[in-house]
Formats: sequence, C-alpha cells, structure tokens
Amino acid sequence: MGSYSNLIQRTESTLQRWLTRRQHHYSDSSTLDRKHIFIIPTRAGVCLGALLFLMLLTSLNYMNSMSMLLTFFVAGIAFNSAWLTYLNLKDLTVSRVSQKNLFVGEQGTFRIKVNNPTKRDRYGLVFRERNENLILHDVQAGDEIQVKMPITPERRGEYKLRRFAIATRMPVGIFNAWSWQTLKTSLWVFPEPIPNHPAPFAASGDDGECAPTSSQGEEFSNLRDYSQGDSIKHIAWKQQARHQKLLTKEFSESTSGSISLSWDFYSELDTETRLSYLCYWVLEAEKQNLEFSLSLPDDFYPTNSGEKHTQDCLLALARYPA
Amino acid sequence: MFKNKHSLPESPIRQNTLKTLFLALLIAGFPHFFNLPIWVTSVFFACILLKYYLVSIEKDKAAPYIPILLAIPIISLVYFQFGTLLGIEASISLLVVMLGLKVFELSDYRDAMLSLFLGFFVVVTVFLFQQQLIIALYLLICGFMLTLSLLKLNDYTGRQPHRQQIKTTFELSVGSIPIILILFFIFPRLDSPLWSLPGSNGQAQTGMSESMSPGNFTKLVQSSAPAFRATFNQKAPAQDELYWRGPVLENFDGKRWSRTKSIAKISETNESNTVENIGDAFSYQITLEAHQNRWVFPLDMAIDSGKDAITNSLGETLSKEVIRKTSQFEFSSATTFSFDSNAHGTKLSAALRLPTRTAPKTRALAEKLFLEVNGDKKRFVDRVLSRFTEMPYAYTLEPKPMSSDYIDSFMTDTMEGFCEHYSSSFVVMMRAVGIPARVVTGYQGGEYNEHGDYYLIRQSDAHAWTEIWLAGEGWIRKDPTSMVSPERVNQGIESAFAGSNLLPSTIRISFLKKLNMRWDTMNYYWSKWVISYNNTLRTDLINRFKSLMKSIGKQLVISLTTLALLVFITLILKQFFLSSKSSTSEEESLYRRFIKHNNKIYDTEKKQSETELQYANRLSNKNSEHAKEIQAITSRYLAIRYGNQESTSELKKLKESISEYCSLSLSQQAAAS
Repeated sequence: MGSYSNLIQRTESTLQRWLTRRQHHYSDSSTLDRKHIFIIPTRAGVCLGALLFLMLLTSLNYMNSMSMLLTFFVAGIAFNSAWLTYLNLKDLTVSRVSQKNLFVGEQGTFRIKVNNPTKRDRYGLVFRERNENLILHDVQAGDEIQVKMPITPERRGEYKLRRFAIATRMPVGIFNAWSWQTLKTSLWVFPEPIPNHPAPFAASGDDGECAPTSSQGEEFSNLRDYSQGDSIKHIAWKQQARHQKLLTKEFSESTSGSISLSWDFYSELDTETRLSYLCYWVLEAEKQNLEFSLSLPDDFYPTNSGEKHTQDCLLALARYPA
Repeated sequence: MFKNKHSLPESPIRQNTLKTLFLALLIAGFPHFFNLPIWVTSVFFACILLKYYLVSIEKDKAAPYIPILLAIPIISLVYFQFGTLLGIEASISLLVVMLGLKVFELSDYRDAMLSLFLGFFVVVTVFLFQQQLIIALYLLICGFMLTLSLLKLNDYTGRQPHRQQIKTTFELSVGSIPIILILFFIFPRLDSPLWSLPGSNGQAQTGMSESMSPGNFTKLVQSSAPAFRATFNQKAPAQDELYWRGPVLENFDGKRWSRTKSIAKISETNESNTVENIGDAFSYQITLEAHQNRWVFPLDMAIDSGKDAITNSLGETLSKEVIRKTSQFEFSSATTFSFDSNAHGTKLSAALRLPTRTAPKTRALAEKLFLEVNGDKKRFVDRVLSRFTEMPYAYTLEPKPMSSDYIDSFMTDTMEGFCEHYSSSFVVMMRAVGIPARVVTGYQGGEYNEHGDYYLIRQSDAHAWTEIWLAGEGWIRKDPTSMVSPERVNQGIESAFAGSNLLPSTIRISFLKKLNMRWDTMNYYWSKWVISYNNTLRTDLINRFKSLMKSIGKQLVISLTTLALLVFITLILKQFFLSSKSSTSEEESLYRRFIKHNNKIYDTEKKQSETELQYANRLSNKNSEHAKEIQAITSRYLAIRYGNQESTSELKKLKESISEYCSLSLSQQAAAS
C-alpha cells in the first residue's frame, strides 16, 4: 500500500516536472507553439472511438469492404479533427496589456491580449484561469482581442495572473486541446476605502484647525470686483460696506492649507482597517482637491497633490506588508 | 490536471443545428426502406420528422417517458417479426428504431452527439445489404452531411459562418482520403468471421435457380441487374461461343426440370476430369455479384477452376463458399473439347428417363421423325433442329397460354416459346428415341465494354440450352433456340427482342446505352477493387509492392535518404534563422537600432538594469539638443510595446522618427568634426 502511494507520488512529481518544463517562464508575451499545446480526446471522442471499434468489428466480421471504407472515413475525420483542433490554437500569441488597478471588493476586469497573426480564423477559444473563469472568444485572422476576465479581488496587494489555459474543442468536439500559459502581468489591489471619522489629521494648517469640510472645500485667497454671475454666497458683505462696491471673495484651487494623513492616528486598530481608513481619506482628499501628505511606518510621501501623488500613495497602501 | 476537459462548456443546441442533424439522419436511414420491414423505417422516419416539426415550431418539450414506454412494445415487435433479436436484420431493425426514439427524446448536446454517432453506424449497416457504387456515392453524401452537423453541433458561439463550416467539412473529408486508402489497402482482413453469419433469408436475389419450370426465365430475363463480369487475359472467344455454364438439369417430372444430386454431394466429388481433346484455352477472371448461392458460371467448358471453385463431373462449377459478396474467380476454359466420351450405362441412365405419361404427342412425333431418318442419331438431331425453322416456331417472352402438358402444347399447338420451352422440348424428343440428353442452364452472350475491356453478363442473358450424348463424341452442346432466333445467340438477347417492350428500358435506348456502359465500367472497377477486396488481394498487392521495391529498391533508398536529408537541413536552417528573429517584434528591432546608433555616436549604451525611461533621461542629459526627439521616440516605443495601440501606422511613425533622429545626429556629428 505504502509503496503504491509512493509510486503514484513519484509519477505525479515526474509528470509535474515534465509539465513545468513545458510551460513558459513568466514573460511579457508568449506564443502557443507545438511544445506547449496538449491534446486529448473528449468524452464524446472516447465514445466515438468505441463506436469506431464496433464499426470495424462489424465490417471485418461481415467482410464488408464498403463498411470498412466508411469506418476508415470516420476514423480519418476523427484523426484530422485532432489536427484542426490543434491548429485552432497553434501560433496564437498571448501578451500582457496595461491593467487598471482595483480596490478590494471592486468588480473589475483583468485583461490579456490574444493575437492571431495567422491567416486562419479561430473559433470557440476558451480562456480559463483558477479553474472557473470560462470566457468564449472568436479571433478572426490577423485580428486581436482582449480577454476581459471579470474579477472581484478579495485581498489587498498584488493580484498576479496565475497560470491560465487557452483551450478549445472546435471544430468537431471530439478532441480537447489546451495550452498552459503564464504571463508577467499583475495589477494592484488597493485597500477597500472605509468611510470613517474623525479624520486622521495629526497636524494640518498653521492654526491647527480641521480641514474645511464645506461643499467648496477651498481656501479663501483674495477679493476682486464683483462681476455678474458670481455666487451671492461669495460676496464679501463686510468689505462692501468699507469699499462702497460689491466685492467677490476668491477661493484658490490650490489650497494653502494642507492635511497630513498618518498611520499613527489609528493606533488602536489592526493593519488592514488602518489601511482602509487611510485609503478612504486619500480618495477624499483627492476628491476635494486638498494637498496631503501620507506617513506610513517605513514610508513618507510629502505634501503634494495631483493624480500621480494619489496613485503613489494608494500604491504604498496596497504594498504595505500585511 | 486534466480537470478542464470536463468543465469546458457544452455548446448549446440550436434550431438550425438540429435541423441539419435530422436531415442527415433521414438521408442516412433512407436506404433501409428497401432492406428492413417497412414499419421499422417508417417508425424511424416518423420520429425524426415529428421531432423536426416540434423543433421548428419551437414547442419541443422533452418527454423522456415516451421512448421508454415505447421501447418494450417495439422490441417485442421486432422479436415477433424476426423470431430473434440477434440476427443481422433484427439487430439492425432494433438499432434503427431505437435511434428514431433517441432522436425523439433528444434534449441536449450529449444526446445530439450520440444520435449523430449512431447515424454513422446506420450508414455502415446499409452496406451490409447494398454495396453498389451508387449506394456508396449516396452514403458519401450522408457522411458529408453528418460531418457538417457534427461541426454545427460543436460551434459554441454560433458565430462560425456556414461557408466556413462547409469548407472545414471538405478539409476533413479530403484530408481523410489518404488515411482511408492506406488503412483500406493494408488493414488485415479476417479469413473467417468472428461470429456466425445468420443467413439473410429475407432478400430474394434474382439469379439462376437450380430448377426450371415455365416462367422461370421470363422473370430473370426482365432484370437488367448484372450477374457477373468477365475479363479475358488475352483474346476472347466469338460471341456465339459465349455459353456460361451453370446448373445442369437432368430430372424431369413433366413440368419441372431439376438437378439429380443435391449440392451437398458435389463437394465430395473425386471423379476424374473427363474433359479431353482440349482445344485453345482461354484464361479469364469472373467477378461475380453476390447471389447467396454457390454457383459460378465459367465459360463452357472449364478446364481449370482455380483454387476457390470446383467443377464436378456434370461440368457444373461451384464456389467453395456461399457467394455473399462480390467475389472473383480465375478460370481457364476451352471451347472445343470432348466431354465424357467414355460414359456408359448407369452414368447415362438419368439422361434418358422420361415420365411415362408426359407429352405423348411429342414422343410420337419424335418416333415418326426417327423412322424417317432410319434411326440415324446424328441425322435425327439435325432433322429435329431444322424442324424448328421449317415450322412457324416463334421466339417470344409472352407465349400464348398452354395446357398443363406444356411440351405437347408448345410443340404441336402454340409453337411460341422461350428458351426454356425449346430446350425442354428438344430434350424430351431426344430422350424419346433413346439419345441421352439434358438441359444446361446458364448465361449466353454478354455485352462487351470497351472502356473496361470486359464482358458484362446481365441476368437478362440467362439462357437454357441442351446437351446430347453421342457415342464416341461425348456430350455435345445443342441450342435449339438458336434455330428459331439466331440473333439471340449471335448478338444477344437485346437484338432478339428489338422493339419489344418486355426488356428493361435501360438497355434499349442506344444513347443511354453508352452512358450505361461507362457507368458500368465504374461499377466494375468498384466491385473489382473495393467490394471484392479481401486478404488474397491484399497479400497480392503487398507482394507486388515488395517486388517493386526490390527492383527499384536501391535507387529509391538513395533518393529518399537524400530527400530526407535535404528536408532536415532546410528545417534546421529555418529554425536557426527564424529563432534569432522571431522572438523580437518589429518595434523592438527598431528600438535596438536606436540604441545602437546612440552607442556609436554618443557612446551611451543602455544598461541591462535601466528602464527605457531612465535611459532616455540619461541620454537627454548628455545630448540636450535632441532631448525632445529622444523623449518622443521613447514614449512612442513604450506605447506600442506595452500599451494597447499596436497598429501599423504607429509602427511607421516610430520608424520615421528613429530614422530622422539618426540622420540628424549623424549630419551634426559630421559638421562638428
């Protein structure tokens, strides 16, 4: 018994090694070539095989040349269909494309480019990853498509594309060909933004005041003459009395006051919640066009604003060791 | 590891897919109308047509209980029809009916696939009954249709154009031709069946019977079905010598002529060959159509019957096995010979017997004529034969009604008859005066086909003639029919009945006749090379191939080796050149050119660890006047390489900007130096 399971184990590991040898190393793109395409009969194929045997036996027994011819015709079709199934995959290339990063729990897609540089249209390609995601595609000759694999990441961090398979049963359904592929492509999963109060502003502007949470969310900068169309809310009524004319308060887009988001603010919470809370405020700050800085235990992002800054900060949150 | 094979989605079944499948199955099952009881095929057709209708009005509700309910009554019906479920016809009937029911309850992909595969099996069973070329062509269409529906069934997305599917079907079919040919010609055959072949009694084939009574031949002569074909190795005998000898009938009961011995006894023959004084020998092959009996019809008289047939002392030839499929025989025959010249006593007594009350008038006539020639047997024979021409005897397929003693009625009253009347009357006359005589049946004549260089003998060429025995000469062939209708023997049955509409119309119109000849040539080669292909022929072919290989072996080996070597070298070279190129895309090679150029002019090499952007920054610092171009090239390259916009126009732009950059910096450097 023991030696038997041992044998199975050894066989399996040998098989696995062989399979690994036959797999691509992680790269930007790869081609489905002869060495990486496997083919075996489907259940229907096995059924047809049994029937072919029966047909052969019948024609042999009755010494009937015509039935023999027909049996060989069906056998020929089966044989050729294996070839066509293989050709349906051969020389396709898969390559990576830029991914859109996601938040935990957000529905999104993971994309891969499948390119058909040959002159043969490909039909019924099945894309599989993690045993479930089945997506059917046709790729015309010389065309390329993007496989959009729907994902809803559940964990923060790097979402790597695992080994995936491009498979097909076309055109006849009695053979199943597939090719395992690996690509060096991943996307980042940011923490799930969780709304929370109070804001983690350890120290902000000169007066230590909380950042404005008004609808404008902007800082007053100076006064100018009123012109038609200015909001009544922005009229400086006090100054108007002094200057005898309508003046409008101007608010600058770039706030002079900045906020600092800090890891230390949530000292009593666990790591993931902290990151989620910080993530919420990074997004909030961006929404309100505030300058902000982010301090993490090993990292500090100085006060800044803009999309790149936000992305850098989100990435830092995503990368934060669990 | 192989899990994915099971989780691949089964393609949905669509209305038009099912329609194609049903059509293919209907076509495949159609020939069984002629082979199986009519109700079997009707049930099959009804099931499929009903399902077709239900599918097309989209009211197809799965009703799995109906076939289950029907299965038992149908199985018992088949049992009552055939008395067994195991016989060939019974089992095929069962298959056909069950397939019909299966189609009726079909509800998903798996059912559809199974029905389709069984469809192929139905096609195979058709060949157990019919093997003509026309059926082969018909069933080729079936195979094509079934393959097409296989493709349609497996079209997951349903987006594959119809034309593409037809193209693929052709690809598959044409691609399977070499496989078919190789397998067919080299696949070993069984010498004896694995399980016993139950006789198929249902099919009454037209063919020579072992007895003769009025009306027998009339039926046979109206069938244009081929009986056999004969190919002479060298020259062929004249048309009026083409007597294909079959059963010899010696017993007469007043109505019916029959054989003396049963077939079973023939095999034990150890009687020596009694054919002597043989003239020129003709060697030829006979390709005999299946007729579920053992008779073979060599040219009168066979002197060598090959290894598959034996000739007995009556000169009848039988195959060693029942001829269930088209089979080939090799013969050698002589047209001049003396046969059984030393026969005596008991051996001839059977050829003298006459039932006492039969044909009194004919006997009296014979005795009268015998007296007229003074008992000279030879002169008597001539006298009887010439009497057929002197008196108004006529040769017709539709003789007037005769009385129960048809010999007397024919000889003295109606004088209208067919070969069976002439031969039997002649034999009765001979026996009446003590000349041993018997009826020989077989075929006479045949149509020469110049395209295939063979004679086609149809059932309509069936004929009955006589043999008489004269001391010192043995058995001599006499054909009284030839006295009345010489054309029958010289030019064939067709000319004997020119203008009559009793013969099948296919052989009467001369325009069609030519077409018919060509068609028959194809049929001939079909039967010769396909239907009758067996182990013997296979061994023959392989031996021929071997000897061919031996004779041209050396050159062949040398040339094949050279060819293989050339192919090998080409492949290696191709691999070598392609492998250095194929891994890099066009934009990469362009970018490499850019780096190479920089390396040469500005001595700035891209480090392995450096990203493209870092490299571009470093380069711009060093070569500030071209900073803009460098950045533009880099971002364009990155967009193509990693972005999503791989297009030829972008590539072209990249190429242009790189070459512009190169030439610009080159000219500047030249100016500087």
